[in-house]
Amino acid sequence: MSKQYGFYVDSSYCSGCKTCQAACIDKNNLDRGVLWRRVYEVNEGGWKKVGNAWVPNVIAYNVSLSCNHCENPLCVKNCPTTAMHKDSRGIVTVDENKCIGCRYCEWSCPYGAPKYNEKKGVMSKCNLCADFIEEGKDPACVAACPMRVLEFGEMDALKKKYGSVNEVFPLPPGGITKPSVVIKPHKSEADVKSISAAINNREEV
Amino acid sequence: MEREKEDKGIITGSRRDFLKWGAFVGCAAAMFGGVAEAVKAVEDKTKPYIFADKVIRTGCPAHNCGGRCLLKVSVKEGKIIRIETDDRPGDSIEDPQLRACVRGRSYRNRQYHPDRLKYPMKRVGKRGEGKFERISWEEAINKVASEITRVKNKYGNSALYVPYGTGSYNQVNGRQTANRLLNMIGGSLGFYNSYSWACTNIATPYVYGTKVSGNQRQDWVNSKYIIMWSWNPCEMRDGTNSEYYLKKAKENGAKIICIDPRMTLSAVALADEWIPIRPGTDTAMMSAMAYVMIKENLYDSDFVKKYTVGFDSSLMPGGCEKEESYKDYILGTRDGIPKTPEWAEAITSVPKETIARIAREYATAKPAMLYQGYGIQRRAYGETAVIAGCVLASITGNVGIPGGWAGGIALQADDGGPFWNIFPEGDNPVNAKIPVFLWSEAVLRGKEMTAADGVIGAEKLDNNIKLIYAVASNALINQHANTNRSAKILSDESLVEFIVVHEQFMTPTAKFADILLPACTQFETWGLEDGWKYGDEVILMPQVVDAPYETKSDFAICSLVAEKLGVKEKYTEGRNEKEWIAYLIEEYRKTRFPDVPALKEFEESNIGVYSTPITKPHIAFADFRKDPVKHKLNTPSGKIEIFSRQLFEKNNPKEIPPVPKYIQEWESPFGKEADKYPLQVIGNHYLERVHSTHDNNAITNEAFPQRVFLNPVDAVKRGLKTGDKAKVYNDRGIMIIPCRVTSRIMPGVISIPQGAWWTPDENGIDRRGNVNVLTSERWTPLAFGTAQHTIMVQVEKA
Amino acid sequence: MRGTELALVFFTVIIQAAVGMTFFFGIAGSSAVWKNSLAANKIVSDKILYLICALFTLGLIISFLHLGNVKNAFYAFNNLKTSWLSREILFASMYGAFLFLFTFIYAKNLLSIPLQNIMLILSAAAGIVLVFVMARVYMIEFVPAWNSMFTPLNFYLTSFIAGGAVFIAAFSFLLNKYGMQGEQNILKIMSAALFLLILAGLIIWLLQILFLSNGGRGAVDSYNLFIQHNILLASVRIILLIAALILLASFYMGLKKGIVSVNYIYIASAAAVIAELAGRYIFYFIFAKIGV
Repeated sequence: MSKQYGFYVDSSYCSGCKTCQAACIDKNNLDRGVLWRRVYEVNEGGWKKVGNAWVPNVIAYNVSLSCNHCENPLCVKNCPTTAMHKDSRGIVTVDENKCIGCRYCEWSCPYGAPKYNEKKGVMSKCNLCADFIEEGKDPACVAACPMRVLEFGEMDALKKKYGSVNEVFPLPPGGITKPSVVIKPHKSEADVKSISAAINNREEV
Repeated sequence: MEREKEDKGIITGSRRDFLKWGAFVGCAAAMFGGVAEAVKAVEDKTKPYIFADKVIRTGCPAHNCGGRCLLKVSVKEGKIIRIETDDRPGDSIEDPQLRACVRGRSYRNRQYHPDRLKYPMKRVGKRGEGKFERISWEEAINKVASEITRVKNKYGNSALYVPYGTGSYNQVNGRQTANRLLNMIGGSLGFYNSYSWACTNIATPYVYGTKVSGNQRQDWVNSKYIIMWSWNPCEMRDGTNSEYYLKKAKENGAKIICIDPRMTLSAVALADEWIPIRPGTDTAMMSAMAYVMIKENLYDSDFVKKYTVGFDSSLMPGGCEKEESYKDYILGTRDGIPKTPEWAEAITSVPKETIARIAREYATAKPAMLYQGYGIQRRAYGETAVIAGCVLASITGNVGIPGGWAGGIALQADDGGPFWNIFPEGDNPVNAKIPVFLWSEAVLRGKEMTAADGVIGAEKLDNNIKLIYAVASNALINQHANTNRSAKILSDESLVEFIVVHEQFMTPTAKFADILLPACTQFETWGLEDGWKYGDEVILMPQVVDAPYETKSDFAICSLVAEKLGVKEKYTEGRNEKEWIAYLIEEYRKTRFPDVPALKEFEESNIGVYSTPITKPHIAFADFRKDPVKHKLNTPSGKIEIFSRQLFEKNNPKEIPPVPKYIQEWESPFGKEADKYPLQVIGNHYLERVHSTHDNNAITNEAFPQRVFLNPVDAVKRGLKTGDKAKVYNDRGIMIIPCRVTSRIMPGVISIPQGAWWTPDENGIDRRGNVNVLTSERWTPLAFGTAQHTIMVQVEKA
Repeated sequence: MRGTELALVFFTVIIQAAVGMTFFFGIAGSSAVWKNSLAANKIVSDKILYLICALFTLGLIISFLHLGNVKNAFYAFNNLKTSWLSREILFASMYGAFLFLFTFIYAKNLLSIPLQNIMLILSAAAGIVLVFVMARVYMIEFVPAWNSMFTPLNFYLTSFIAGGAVFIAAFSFLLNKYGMQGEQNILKIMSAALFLLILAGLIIWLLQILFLSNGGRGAVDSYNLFIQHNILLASVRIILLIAALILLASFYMGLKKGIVSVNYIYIASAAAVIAELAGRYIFYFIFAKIGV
């Protein structure tokens, strides 16, 4: 593979404002319920009454996630039709003309990237704004971020710049699919109990 | 299309001069390897999309969000098909890209919403029922003009009223167009102050003699310690890029503390520590911090002596030498209650150790910022919280220095010339003004209102409000306190006899119109905006698409009424919308922005924004700090007034103390009312919408659904879990909406984000979650401002 | 659960039942049932074969219901190299082809008996492989509730329990209808086998839930989904399976005394099939990923 593009996500400064999500929806004309990029809010912890005070032991952080265009994408491996494929730039996309809409890729992907298009009966997903990349622009989500926590680039360069952390909760271990993403964890990520209940905005993702 | 050429025009030679992006022409040129490369970069990034007919850079139709951002809009066949944001190269802290937020990027859903108002309509049902019938523009304008004439003749101009409203905020769209119209025919009852910042707007000058109390944001990176006190720039923006500047400050080593009952988006992204505090008790915590500083001698006594009055008995202003000083109050010399951290813990729910530690950290980390958000002052005694924060800034010597922060309203541009809506309203021959929050009082009992009700410009009002001309305003029903009360008042046709509304959607306020006129959106007319509170930019908003159906700009609608009233020439001065924008740019050139390009050049450049990089950020009170004798403050003493003689003379020490004191709110967890209604509600800003604008936007709704947020402690007691329908109520109203259980809000406090469109069912129960069905119309003592956050409720499973 | 997954519940159970029935058909055949009074029994055996074919066809039709875009269905063979789903479709096709071919030559009595037997063995073998491939489809790396040996084990158990139940019910019905006696031996063997299979199925299923509750991330999520949403359905499944066990035992005891209580068999079979459908519903319902 000649190239592998990917994302850098600085979870430590992500506010969860979802501008990336909206920019993605606008760029790709996505229907409601189809979020190629979405933001997971991790939140857990409790409160204790100490004296007259309520004392929190609460953690919260956000992870903005689209498709990680994995080096070994399970969605591609498991797709019965080869509609899901990886191109020479490392971009994983769906060929709508081949897809049967069995949604097996949706089960397979541990990042929730493939999304079903109800209208067309086929799968859809982040294509890294391939047209923007061709024009030399950043993907819509990256260019949108008011906090500048998203970056796009070739994985080698991103890894050199930001290291190789690619598995913060709620993401799975990265060993199997080798996601093309580098993440800077939020300070409270280390304290999360890693159960799915800790994703507190289920209805939004 | 004409504009297609214009978009490409960016790359032609003559216009390069206007690439006044000093960021790289000046200091950062080296970084980019020179102007040629920079321009090349612009060219590469600004090629029109093949799929679009034209690409236009324009200001985001910002409403009243606190941000002023840039959009890059692609249009095909007269329709907006894509919205991007600022893509100027060289995104630097001196001149950062003005990146739009989730609302701006979701705008197409609002723009092409099927519920857009399309035609003029007249009411056919009972007022407020929402039943309308399509009529012609002619009929509509005739009716509006004749009603204005009738009411004017019968009662006089002071019975006419243009209410607060910020749905459109861009010169030729917005409320100011109606003010100008009425001013041409003899004026109307005016108002002062705002819903956003009534208390800080009034209180800040009592301390500092000015509202320009903010350093420019580029200075924040110089701070070592930043307290975001009830301040949440990630969700309410408070200036495009404020959150980004804080990130830069943190990267520069600043420690950031967030004091807020909610663990806000800002707390998560920016704060090293989140300290939940019981709403309405901020002054108590601030007082206890002062106690620690005084007891441990951590305050800046030199600064206090040189620059302030009223701190202790030796520094009292003339004539008040015997009065209780700030130190007296803090140490409890007179009332016998030392304002210790223990004392404050019981009130604020913040552990005493935490209060003491924050006091020490803030007092010793120099320079440090205590940034007060406006949430703490939309409360019962909001004025005192504002002043208390200013006092802490003063006694720690953080006023007038880089990296410090004086607090208060923290404007930057007031004295520099006109800002925001500079469309000339003309002089209002009616001198009387009411506090904006008291309009419903002026409907019910205007003729009884005097200075005691905050009336200025006249001894008393000579009329009740009889005609309301509402433009881009959902404040009448939705955003004003106590919605059920407002609805009852306005549905009584014997009180307000005629209501005309310009709107883009059938908002709860629009439903109370007698005549409802369809306004176009900002993309459909011309506009101009400058940076919001912060930011020295001018943003051009060219008309991007045609106004659809029979919609018109607010200016065009008012022009029609003006014509009917025989003042068309006077009203329009012969200008259309675009020509007004050209005129207003010239106004800016004469004042704040001498170098802003004239309209033609500005438009042809298609850059959308004129900005100047800030390399030497302005520091508020720097002159005063340098020489307090030569550069006196505009206060009676010429110094920072910790004790205000003016407030002392109000002779209402229980509600308007001359030094900032904690006062228990009129609805409080410590009052009797808590037996029945034990939970405090905060109606915080929410990224789903801008106040009530965008509440019908499906994209923002999906991202941020309207919920009542409550703590697991409170939820478990009530058998509530995430997704359950919760009934929230008090004596003023009831709502039933789904809840979200989250540990990100403190026990005893629930959050119902403000701005959801009031949607009463047949029993009057709001099903959408408009917090104002619960809020109170009672106003604050000094500013006559809103105290909408001071309410208590009960929650149960619906 | 989405409607499309409900389609998968029926599709998988029906296809697996068909495979199980094919297998039982072979056992019955090898135990020479069909050869006793061949002329009369052929009516029965033909009808059972038709039933298997009908079930397979039904399953096939239902399988299409979970596709969003049927017109591309042909492409589903494209990725035999790496996709178990592609392979499933291949083996389902093979099994179907063998099954129909065998049914044709058997019903028409074409070819020799050994050749017929070879066809039957091929059908059964394809079916057995199919069930394994089906199980592999669900053994997704990030779905711990599915990614274990419990999945093939359960799928085979479903095959033999649901297949066996339908087979024994149909067999009893036909024997009863055509008034044939003297096949009590095979009924005895089959009811005993079914009893043991159901007992094993129940134990293994409970073991699996126990394993889930002690598993890691994902597994625990599945367990929580089960506890929060499936307790009622799980109880129904357990009660049905126990009822089937009791009825089968009673039936077996009756046979020993020469009493053929076909109604016991009908009810037991229905209970077993419904229990298997419930089990499969739960299988899909507790889907939870390591990840998001």
